[in-house]
Order: sequence, then structure tokens, then C-alpha cells
Amino acid sequence: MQRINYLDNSISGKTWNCGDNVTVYQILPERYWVMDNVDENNMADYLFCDLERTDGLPKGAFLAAGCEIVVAGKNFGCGSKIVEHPIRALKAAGVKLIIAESLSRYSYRNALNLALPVLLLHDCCTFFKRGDEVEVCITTGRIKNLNSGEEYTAEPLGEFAAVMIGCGGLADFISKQGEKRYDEDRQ
Amino acid sequence: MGATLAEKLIARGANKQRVKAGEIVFVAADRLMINDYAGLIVFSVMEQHGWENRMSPDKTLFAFDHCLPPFTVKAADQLALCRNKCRTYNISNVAEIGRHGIAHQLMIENFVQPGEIAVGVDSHSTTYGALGAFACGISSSDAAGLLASGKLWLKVPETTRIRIEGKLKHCVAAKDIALKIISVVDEEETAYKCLEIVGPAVSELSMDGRFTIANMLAETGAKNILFEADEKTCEYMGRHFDRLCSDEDAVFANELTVDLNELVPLMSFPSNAGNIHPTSNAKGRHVDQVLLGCCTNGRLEDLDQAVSLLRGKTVANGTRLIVVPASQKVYSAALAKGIIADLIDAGACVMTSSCASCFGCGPGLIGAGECCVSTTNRNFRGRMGSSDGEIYLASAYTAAAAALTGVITDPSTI
Repeated sequence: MQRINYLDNSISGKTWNCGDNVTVYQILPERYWVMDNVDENNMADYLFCDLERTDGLPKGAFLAAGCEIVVAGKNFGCGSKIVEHPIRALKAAGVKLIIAESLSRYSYRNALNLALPVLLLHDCCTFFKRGDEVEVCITTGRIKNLNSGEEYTAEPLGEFAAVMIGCGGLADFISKQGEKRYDEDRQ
Repeated sequence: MGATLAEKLIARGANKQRVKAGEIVFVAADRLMINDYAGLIVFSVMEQHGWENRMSPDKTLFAFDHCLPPFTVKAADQLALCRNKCRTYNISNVAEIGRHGIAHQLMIENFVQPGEIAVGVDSHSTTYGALGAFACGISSSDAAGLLASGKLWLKVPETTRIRIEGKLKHCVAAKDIALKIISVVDEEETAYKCLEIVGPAVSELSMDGRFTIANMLAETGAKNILFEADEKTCEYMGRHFDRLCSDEDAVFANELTVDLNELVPLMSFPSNAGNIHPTSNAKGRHVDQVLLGCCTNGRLEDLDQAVSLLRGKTVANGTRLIVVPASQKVYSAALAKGIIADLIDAGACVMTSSCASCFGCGPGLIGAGECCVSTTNRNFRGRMGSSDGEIYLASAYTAAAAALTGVITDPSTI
């Protein structure tokens, strides 16, 4: 299929794990959602700093950990907020992929609009420890944990998500006539 | 195989004969709501990409509803910037202060029509689904993309059908139905789904009650909430609309029934809207503040229900009652009916329409250790002020009962 040509297919990096029902407020506290502009670099410093009162990360800790793949349980990015700041902050921190059991509707939408790939994998939290090195093919959903040697197959990226991410997100999807490209891919 | 109501509405918006759940389609939205909270980001995305507004001006509503009247210089500057950007992008339908209301209420006051696709940059945009429109929240980038291209990508949702039947008891209201539904559904039944509310009890529900349910059920994580447009909808709209509904042989992801006969007043206990228990379980808990109103329960029927318990009586010592009508139109109608005078005589503080008290961004905050009974839709820690305060969500009846007694009280016992 044509999309393979314009989609960077393989992703590798270290995993950063969090559990079920992580809210948008826990990904990035509301006090860092600046509503008159989006300062992505400032936001990245505060990722996950309120995740749990006892387990919140100090400023810059997520960045320092150098993790490029977030592994989450069910309903990642819940809290029914339309805000894009938490997902933008993940992108700014160099996150290349989210692997989760499921995402809230808004977070899934925001991730695709910002060209951050999402793979859905049942029970994924039990397959990775924080800091595991993994290799992923996002179009097939194949995931290899280099530390444990185990391999898994996630639900592959859908056709629409592949086109959206291949275009580089919503803005480029619109300017590059992604709708037409998607329709052509489906022919 | 027949089509669900959601599929029919999206097919119309996508200009296709037929769409199926799971499919991604591009729809031309009929209505777009932008507010002063997410609006500046919409405009900054437009600016960043050099986009122009290509949507027809009569389709967009810009509402000032979060920070008004401005209570900080920063808020005043932001509202001024919003006005300026509305001019730049030819958005003429601006609900200026004085002609304002909470955006969701303005959307359902002669703007969104049954059968349309209506979206807004706020998660409680589900409210408009009570009119028989396909309505959901979208992000600021989505809204900018919609203005620039006239289209929005949407995944056609599966539908979970919820049948409500039976009669509500005295002092049990639409809010209790919504809370009951939240307490019985699980994530599997709601996430990414359309929740279609049907059954013999729907025709008994007023439009105000339907708006409450469509608003509150956003808390389930559903994509949208749908009611069929019926005679009451047409009466509310002031003209006829054909009745659209799911086909007999449509396939639903889940079907469940909620019996209203035994429903008692319910509350979302702190600090999660899903933490639902009978009001009587918290009986006697001291209440510092009662918030009656906003977009979930700030319409005429809600104010009327509260006044039915408060008229001629006074708010308890040690408790304050704050009232926020959902819009200027509601406020004016409540004045004409004498409801506002009754509330003030009972000792209520009546404020202007805004999200501020519910959203915790302006007047009406609670302090550390304080307890608030609120008719709004969210009660996580810090939502309405101090993160050491507690919020119980309930109907207008239950809110009025708390104001009257100063403690959490089952309104049916008054």
C-alpha cells in the first residue's frame, strides 16, 4: 500500500509505564495548560509530575528518563477534556509512540491530530517494565521487548490513522489533501 | 441491516447514502461553538497555518462564558483579544456580555436544529444531542481545521441503547436519571459510543430534563448522547421536524433498560462523578455552599424545582446558596415568573450566567475543608476551588433541600 512509503514505520526506544485511567490532569497538571498559547517546551518539564501524590515526578524527570514510548493501561488520557496540551507536551518531550489498552476519545483524537501514533494492546502494562528497550513496527503492530525477548502483536494502526500520521498531523492532513489520499488508499 | 440514528445523522453530514459504525468519514458540520476558554488556541492554530475561515458565518457561535465579566486584567485582555480575532476571522455571531449565556445553553436556544451535526470546543457539547442532533466535543485544532476546510473527521460510533421506563417519584428528577445511568453502565458500554436514550419515559421528560441528561452523560466518556426529536422537540423549536430514529433492525453494541419507578434521589459523592450513592447515605453532612444552575441544571425547570422547596422559606444559617441561570434568556424568564424574587427572598445570591463557579475560574469558589452540593457535572478535587474541599453533585431538588436544611437531605423527605 502507498502509505508505507510516506510513513516512518519502525520506532524504537525505552518504555515509560503508567497504569489504568491516567487522566489528562495527571499527564500534565492543569496549571501548565496555558490557554492563550501553547508553550510546548515549558510543558514537557512537568509531565506526570502529579501522577500520584507519592509518585509524582520532579520537574524535568520525565525528560531526563529519556523514554520515547509511553505504555499505559485502560482509558489513557481520560477526564473528558478537549485540551491538547497533555498530548502536545508528550510530543515535545520526544515521545514517539503510545502503547495502551485503550485511550479516552479526546486523547486518541488529539494524538492522531498531532501525528503521535497509538497502538492498542491488551494487557500491555504487564509486558514491559519501565526502561525496557523495545522495537515496534507501527503498521503491522509487531512489538519486540529487547529486554525480555518477548514479542507481541498490537492492533495495527488503522488506515486513517496511518494517513493522518503519514501526513504529519491534522494541519498537514488538511493542506496536503489527506482526505483525498485516504480515499485513494481505500480504493 | 438497518441503520442507527447516529449513522443516519452522520451519513447526512458526510453526504453519503450510508455509513457504518467504525468507519471514518468527513462531515460538514452544521454548527460550531467556540468559547473564550479554548478560543484563543483555535485562533492561534489558524494564525500558525495562515488559514482563513471558510465556514459560512451563520454556522459559528462564539460565546463568552468562562471568564465574565472579567475579574482579572488578564481575563479582560484575553476577552478583548477574542473579540479582535472574531473580527479578523469574520465570526459575527458573538454572544457579547449582556447578551450572553453558557455556550451550551446558547447553542440550544434557537441555534442547533434537530438532524444537524453540531460540535463545540467543550466536552459538554453532548448537550445538543437532546435536540436529536449529532453533537460532540472537539479540540481547538479540530475547530480550526473545521473553519479552514469546512470539514471534520469523525469515526462513526457504535450505539448503546438505553431504554428508560417507569414514572419518577416526587422530588426525583432528570439529573437522578443521568446519575443512575452513569452508575449502571461500564466503560465497555460507553467509551467511543453513542448513547441513545429511548423508551416510554422519554416522552414524559421535558426538554430541560433531556438537556440535563445529554449534558451529564458526557461524564461516561461517551462520544455523544442522542434523543429522537419528537413532538416536544418540535414544540420547543417552534416548528415541525420529521421524526428520525434508529431502524427496527439496526444493530446496537449494547441495550439496557433503566427502571425509573424505584429511582431515589442520587448524588455523585466526592471526588468522582461516577461515585454515585443514594442521597440518604450522606444524610446530615454539613453543607457550606450550594450551587444551583450552570449548564447541567440552570434552566427554568431546574430553578422552578428548587423554588418549589424554597419559596417562603430561608436558606439555613451557616450555608450559602449561589444561583447561576444558564443564560440571560433563562434569567429573564425566571424573573418574569417571579422565581428570582423567590430565590432572593429565601436568601440566595443570584449571579450572572457563566462557567466560573462550576469550573473554579471565578466567583463562587469553595475553601479548604468546605463542602458544596452542586447541580453541575464535575466534582474532582479542586474543580470548584480548594483541593481540600468536597463536592457532591445532585439535582436541583436535592440542592434546594441542602440549602434549606444546611445539611445533605433527601428532598423527598421535606
